[in-house]
Amino acid sequence: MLTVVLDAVTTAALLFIISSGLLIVFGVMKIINFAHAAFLTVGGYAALVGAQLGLPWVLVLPLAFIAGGICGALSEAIIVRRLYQRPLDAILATWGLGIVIGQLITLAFGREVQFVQAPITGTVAFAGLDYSAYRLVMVAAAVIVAVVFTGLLSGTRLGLSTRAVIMNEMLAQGLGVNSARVRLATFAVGSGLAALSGALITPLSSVDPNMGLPWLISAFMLVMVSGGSLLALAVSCLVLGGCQVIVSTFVNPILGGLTIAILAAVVLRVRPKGFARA
Amino acid sequence: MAIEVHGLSKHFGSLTVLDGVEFTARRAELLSLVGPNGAGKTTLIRCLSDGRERSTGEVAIAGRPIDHLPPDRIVRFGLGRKFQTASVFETLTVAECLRIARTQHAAPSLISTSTVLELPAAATAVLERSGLAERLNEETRNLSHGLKQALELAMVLALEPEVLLLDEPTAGLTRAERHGFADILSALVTRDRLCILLVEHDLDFVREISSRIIVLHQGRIALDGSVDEVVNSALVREIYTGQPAAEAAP
Amino acid sequence: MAGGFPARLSFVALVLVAAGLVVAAPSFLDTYLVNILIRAFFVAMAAITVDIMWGYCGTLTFGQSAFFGIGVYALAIVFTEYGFGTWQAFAALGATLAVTAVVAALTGWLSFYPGSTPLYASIVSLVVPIVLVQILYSGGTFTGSSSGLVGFESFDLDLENWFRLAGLGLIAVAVVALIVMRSDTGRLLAALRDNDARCTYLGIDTSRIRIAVLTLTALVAGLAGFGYAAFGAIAAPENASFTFGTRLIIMVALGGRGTIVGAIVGALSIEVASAYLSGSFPYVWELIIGVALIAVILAFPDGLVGVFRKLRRGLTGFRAAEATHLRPPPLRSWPTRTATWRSRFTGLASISAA
Repeated sequence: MLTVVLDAVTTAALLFIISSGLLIVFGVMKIINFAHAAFLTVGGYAALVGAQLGLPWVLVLPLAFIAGGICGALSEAIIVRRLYQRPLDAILATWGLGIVIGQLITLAFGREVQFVQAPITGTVAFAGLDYSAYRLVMVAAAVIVAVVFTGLLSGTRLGLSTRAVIMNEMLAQGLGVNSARVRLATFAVGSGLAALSGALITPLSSVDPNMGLPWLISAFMLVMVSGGSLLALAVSCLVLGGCQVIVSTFVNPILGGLTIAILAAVVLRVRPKGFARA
Repeated sequence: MAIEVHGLSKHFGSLTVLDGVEFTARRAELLSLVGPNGAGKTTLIRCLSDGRERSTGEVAIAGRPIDHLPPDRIVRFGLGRKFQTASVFETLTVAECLRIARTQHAAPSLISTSTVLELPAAATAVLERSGLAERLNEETRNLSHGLKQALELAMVLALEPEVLLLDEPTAGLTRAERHGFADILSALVTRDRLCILLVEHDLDFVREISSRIIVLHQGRIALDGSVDEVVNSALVREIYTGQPAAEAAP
Repeated sequence: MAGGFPARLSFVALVLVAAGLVVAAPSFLDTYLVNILIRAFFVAMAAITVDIMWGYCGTLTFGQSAFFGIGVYALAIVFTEYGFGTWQAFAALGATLAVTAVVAALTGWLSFYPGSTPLYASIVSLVVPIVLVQILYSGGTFTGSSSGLVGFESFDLDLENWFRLAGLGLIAVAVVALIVMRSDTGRLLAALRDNDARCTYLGIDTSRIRIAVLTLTALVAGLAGFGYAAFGAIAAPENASFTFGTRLIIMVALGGRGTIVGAIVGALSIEVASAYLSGSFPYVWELIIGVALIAVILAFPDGLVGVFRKLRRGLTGFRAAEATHLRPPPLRSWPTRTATWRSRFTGLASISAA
């Protein structure tokens, strides 16, 4: 029983880290970045390279973040910038971008599945059972990410500008906020977060050019259900992630994989604002 | 009775936008809704045309209660709503837009395009007056703002509505266009006996054509009376200038 | 049809030429290409349905592949479980139509309701093929799981006649689609795409129309899948997948959305090119597709056919159409408010416009 709870919490933490990047982009720019999966993969491969170079984990994570951030900044400048008036087209263009990145990675690294050693191996004795230490680290990582971002958004000037742009872009521009810069920064950070989450999850499974795809749909649905608020995202990850674990464990793992998508679609149908406060 | 509103309120969480709004309007009446920005005018229009918008209260259009019906059902009672920004179909031609407006009355063919467009006199008058009658095959995205407004009005009139809701229809129009518009509205009221509810900021325009004015302030009806009553009211002056009546110049 | 008699004539002529080409072609083309084209024809039918939903109605749908997949599996499952025969063929056909209709109606109810957004409809269209593929994976030997179904007996037709059947079927679907999309109903769909709220406030039940269009296009996509499996005698989960769904969208985007012809051009080009190139340069080909998609979205949103048309038509804002005549609506017999109105009409003569 406790295993299930821990699984649910750690899965929720994982989902939160993966979705937060997508949420930030959606909140500021109102577009869904379908290249998110590709940025996640970039992070995974950055971790692979880092591990092969023998870098300590404490350097690999920032490396992944920066790699993702650079990709994101370039993408925003070249592609996404022109599509703010056309959100559905932005979905398609970012999907194309995702294909391009995925293929470049395949050309560079090959198609095979590769593995990265976890920095923390083994289990930890936790409340009477042995649970994977690395998974527990996920929870800590999620909390750190949430704290850092809330801090950034409420404590810095960029964060303030970002919140202004989220609330009312035209007004923010009229008040002198350089919304173009905010968007660039946001997209870069969002992509960096995606890459960071990719690096974080590689020890849990494996690295291959399509590793991001299964997460994309779940992340996408979670972002839609959370309606743009970081807190609501955390709640959604806990609730829906928990449901996924419960269904996977007690019913059917395949159905479990569908839980988030189906529940989210239904929630949105019933309450279009999702879990966000009205 | 064309419009009946009883106890209409609209809340967004703890924010009350409309509170206890109550009024009626008959056919052949032109009712202007005025009030400072944020008074709730557009919200009121939305609550009249969409049964799911309001929080409390009852609304009846053309004698039929709107309950929680969606806008397309209410339109079929005999309601026409013209939006604030010219809301037409950009990739369609003028004639095609009008034909879409006639969908209620003339279901579209599955295999052919019709070359005949049946429009009521009011809509045709707008088309002729604005010059759109000569440009029926032009795509609407090439039209000027004023022409798009005229087109939208013609489309709404093509519905043959009994009740017409207009949200700041003169915004962006030239003086001459505004004058022409006033004539059209007057004709609609006297000749076709429409009930028109008009949200406007241009008080001269309002004074010229209204039979009645409702002043909305902070979500409540501050005054509901004839043009003279409202124009000379100290309360209205206070609402618009923010100065209490006693301090206002005599 | 807009354009009058000459336009109608040239349309018929084009259709006849295309049909003639389809009938004659197998004699000239090599077997490999014929094989590819047959599959491509069925895929093109599905692409046309994507164009109708997206190009004309404005719903970015990733889910038409699910309906294609239902057709594929309906045939495969029936023929695997019950063998091949007349009643089995009809049963499979019936199952295709019934299941696609039900799934489409359900999807439509979920996606299109007063207050829904195009983004939400896209989301739902995303979820449907994913759910379907998972169901296929968990179906054990009944659905063949991840390996799919293979080796079932199917219709016995020689290659050349399959080509003619598929090709003429595609032409038939295209002709019907073109006629309807160019009619007043097609204009109504475009109006839905351009401004849904305005349509609602003109008394049009946009949700009901969208659900109806989804159901009809789903039936066509299902039949396309049926044909595809009937020819290939293989069913694989990829036929129903989200990846295939996005592939269809890419075909329509590259070929030119909102033109029907564009969907065909895109589908045939990509299917044929994929077949020839993905053997030798698989990753590069996918890369080219990704880049092409980005380029099309950014610079050529109207796709190949759109660019071609613009060059041909020039950039005027006029549509070549017959003159439109205005006239007042007929007097109605029932004594409603309209009677009062009508009696005051000023008797305008018909006005013809250039």
